[in-house]
Amino acid sequence: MKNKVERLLRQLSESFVPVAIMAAFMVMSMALLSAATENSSQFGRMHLVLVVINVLGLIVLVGLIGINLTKLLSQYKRNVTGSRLTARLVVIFVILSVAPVSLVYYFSLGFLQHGIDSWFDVRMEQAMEDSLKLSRSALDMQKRELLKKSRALSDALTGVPNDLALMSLNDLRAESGANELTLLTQGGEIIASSSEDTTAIIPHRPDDSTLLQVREKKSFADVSPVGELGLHVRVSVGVDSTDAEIEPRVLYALFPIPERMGELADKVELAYAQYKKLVFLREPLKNSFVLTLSLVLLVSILTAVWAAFFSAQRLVSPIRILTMGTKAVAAGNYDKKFPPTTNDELGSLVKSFADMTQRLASARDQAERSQQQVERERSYLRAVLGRLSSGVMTLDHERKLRVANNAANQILEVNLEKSLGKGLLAIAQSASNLAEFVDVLNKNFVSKDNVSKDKEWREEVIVKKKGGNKTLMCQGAVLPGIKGMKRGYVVVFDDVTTLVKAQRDAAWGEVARRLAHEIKNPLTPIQLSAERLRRKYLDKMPPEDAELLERSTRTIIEQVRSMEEMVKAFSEYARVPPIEFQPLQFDALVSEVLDLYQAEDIGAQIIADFQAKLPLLEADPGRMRQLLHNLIKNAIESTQEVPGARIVITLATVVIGDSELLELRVKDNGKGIPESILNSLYEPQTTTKSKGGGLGLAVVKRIVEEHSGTTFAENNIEGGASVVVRLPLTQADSTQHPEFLVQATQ
Amino acid sequence: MLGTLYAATPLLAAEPGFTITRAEAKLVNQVYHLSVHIEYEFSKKVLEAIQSGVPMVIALEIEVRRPRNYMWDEQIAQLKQRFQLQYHALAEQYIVENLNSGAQNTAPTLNTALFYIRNIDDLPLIDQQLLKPDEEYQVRLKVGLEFDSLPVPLRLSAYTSRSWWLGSGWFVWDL
Repeated sequence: MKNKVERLLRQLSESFVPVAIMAAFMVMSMALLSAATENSSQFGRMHLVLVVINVLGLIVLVGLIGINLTKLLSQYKRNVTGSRLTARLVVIFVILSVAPVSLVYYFSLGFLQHGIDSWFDVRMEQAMEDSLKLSRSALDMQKRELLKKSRALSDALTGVPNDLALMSLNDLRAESGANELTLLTQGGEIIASSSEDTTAIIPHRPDDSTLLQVREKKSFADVSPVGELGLHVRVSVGVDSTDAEIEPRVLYALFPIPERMGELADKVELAYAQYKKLVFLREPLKNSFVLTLSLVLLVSILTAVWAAFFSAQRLVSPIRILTMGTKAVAAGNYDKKFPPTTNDELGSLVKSFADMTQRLASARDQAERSQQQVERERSYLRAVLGRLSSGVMTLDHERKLRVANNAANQILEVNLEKSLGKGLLAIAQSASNLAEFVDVLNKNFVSKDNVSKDKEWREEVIVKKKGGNKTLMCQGAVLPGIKGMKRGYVVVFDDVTTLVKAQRDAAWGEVARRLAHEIKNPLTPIQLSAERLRRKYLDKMPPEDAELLERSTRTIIEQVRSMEEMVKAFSEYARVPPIEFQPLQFDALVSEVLDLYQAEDIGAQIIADFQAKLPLLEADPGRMRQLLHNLIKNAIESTQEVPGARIVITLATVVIGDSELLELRVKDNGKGIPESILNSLYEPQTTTKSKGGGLGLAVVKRIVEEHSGTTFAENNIEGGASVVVRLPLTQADSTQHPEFLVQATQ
Repeated sequence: MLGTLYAATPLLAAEPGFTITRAEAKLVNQVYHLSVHIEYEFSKKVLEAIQSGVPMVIALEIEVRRPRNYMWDEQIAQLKQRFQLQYHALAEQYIVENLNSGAQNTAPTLNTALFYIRNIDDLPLIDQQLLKPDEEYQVRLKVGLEFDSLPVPLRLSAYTSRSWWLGSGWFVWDL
């Protein structure tokens, strides 16, 4: 119910039709009111009703304006979109409409007052009075004359008896020109009457007070309007009686005023009466006009104010819609609906805005779809790159790093995530071992820049690192720029260290085998020949010659034997027996090997420092023994001329990255390793010692690699060197997988 | 008879207003005839208007009603007598006209003019046959100025000013 009323009120105050009807109605009632004020005969009776209707209309208007005003104020306070513009328009409209109307009202009021006042004038009033007096004196003269005439008539009737009176009256009336002659008794009873108007049944008669006066003064005359006949002179005179039988009577005569005079007198009377009435009505008339004018003014102003609200709201409504739409679009909401508005330019603006929003929405959807597609492809690419075993790096046109996959991180052993967006030189500075790699990239990309855009290159790079150099096979290409995207570079690289190593190992193996074979073959004949020479000629020679022979042949034989050993070692390096993994208590194995050395005098003190409770190691015991012998021999050899030689062997578990390793460290206090050979220490034929074939560390490295471990050598800060071997423990953890241990042992 | 009425009038001439001092209905030849005596006391404003030539209409409203217990009264008959009082400046006469009958009287003073409307005698009211013998009936009357006959500019001030409200209240008696 309340909603209905509210809706009705809103419709009433906002839609056009009720406004128009109301305005038309008000104008009509105003017109009627003004007509009623001016002309009493036509709308006179409606005057009051019209006033009431108009006042009610005013109240309704005030109510409507009040509703609109409170609504606007509350919107203004809440800062509703469009309320400020509406308020401003309303104020402008109100000023524009109220100001001129008020001016007109002010001047109209003045004119009204002056206009009505100008009707009245002292001289005019005096003239009116004078003309009235003049008329009266003229009528008086007439009256006196007719009184005299009436007296004569009365004298003529003196002797006439009552029954003959009518005839006399008729004669006298015709003679005197009277309208009516009536003979009455002194008490007022009509005796006889003669009238010009034959239709009149009841003759006029003087009233009682007149009769009283006649009885006293014998005569009475006055001028009086008689019905519709106009002004007449009424004369009553006593009729004396000479006859005792006839009682005294009264003659009542009605004389018409001469036509011309009567007309003038009527005019004067009418004008005077009108004037007097107007004088009396001056203030009420003014009030009435002012009231009407004020009502008209109020209705006009209030209608204008209401119309101001109405038109301001209508004018602002498209702007409000636009503002709300703009806000919505700014907030990213493109789905806002726009209600249809007016047909003018503002309406078409709203329509265009709606179209624009719709297009924006579809463009945004399109962009979202493309972005999703790009995102999908990017993640697909990232997944592919992540699974690649080859390292992939892309550089932008300024050779700054854009993309690097996991394999690149692992191969280069640096975290390239941190270096994304950095230039190649900056990367080289942050990781010194990448200098060669970066040099190669720079060299190739800079030179390729100018030559041909799609020329590819391929180069092998050695990356220095602690555990030995890494060999990388790099392939690079220039990425062509596409659609405004500047060109970039891509480089793909693989760690080919193992491959190169394997190839080299195979080559060394072959060399060693052939060399051993080629050298071994003549050794036996040399030895046999030397022994034969000795056997045959030692006894036969003089003692001084014999001694020379004996010394020479012994040297030959010893050297051949030593050469045989060397050849044997070479052939052993080349011959690789099949590896047999088994769970191994490595500390026990190390202790066993150390025992052999501690039994004999080796010129150095060996100290074992093992971590308690070492886990089992999955390894080949024979290979491990060989490894230990090599390491210990190496250490003994490097400490041979050092006083107080000391070899410390430590065993401990270390965790590097996410894998647990067993670390064997052989530390001596010998001469240390010269920087010149530190990098090629593990290559065959690399040695600092006068004795030996330089195969010791090469064998160590081979065995370690067979066990998937790493090994490196370093100089100690306090002097001497350390060789470190790290072997993975994860394969055979006895504490965690005893069943696996049993199976593996079998 | 005239004398007695005349003497009774001027005693209560203080407050402006019309007063019905006496009213009665007599049954003559099976028809009720009404006799009313009214005292007129004009206010200064109304007197001024009369003297300025504004015609003044005095209306006497007469109603015959049958009172009912749980409803409004039933109206049996209603009549209105209207008199116009006007000053004629040239003749210096007050003209009293019965607007119902057209009968016109003139008088040189207001008081004598009022004489013609002070007493309303033998006004036929209602035929007895129209009334049921066992029912009770009431007659009520009031007299006052008729504002709607005034000139338009005067009407609004007449409605809003006390000095124009001269009408008597209802004068009621059982028939």
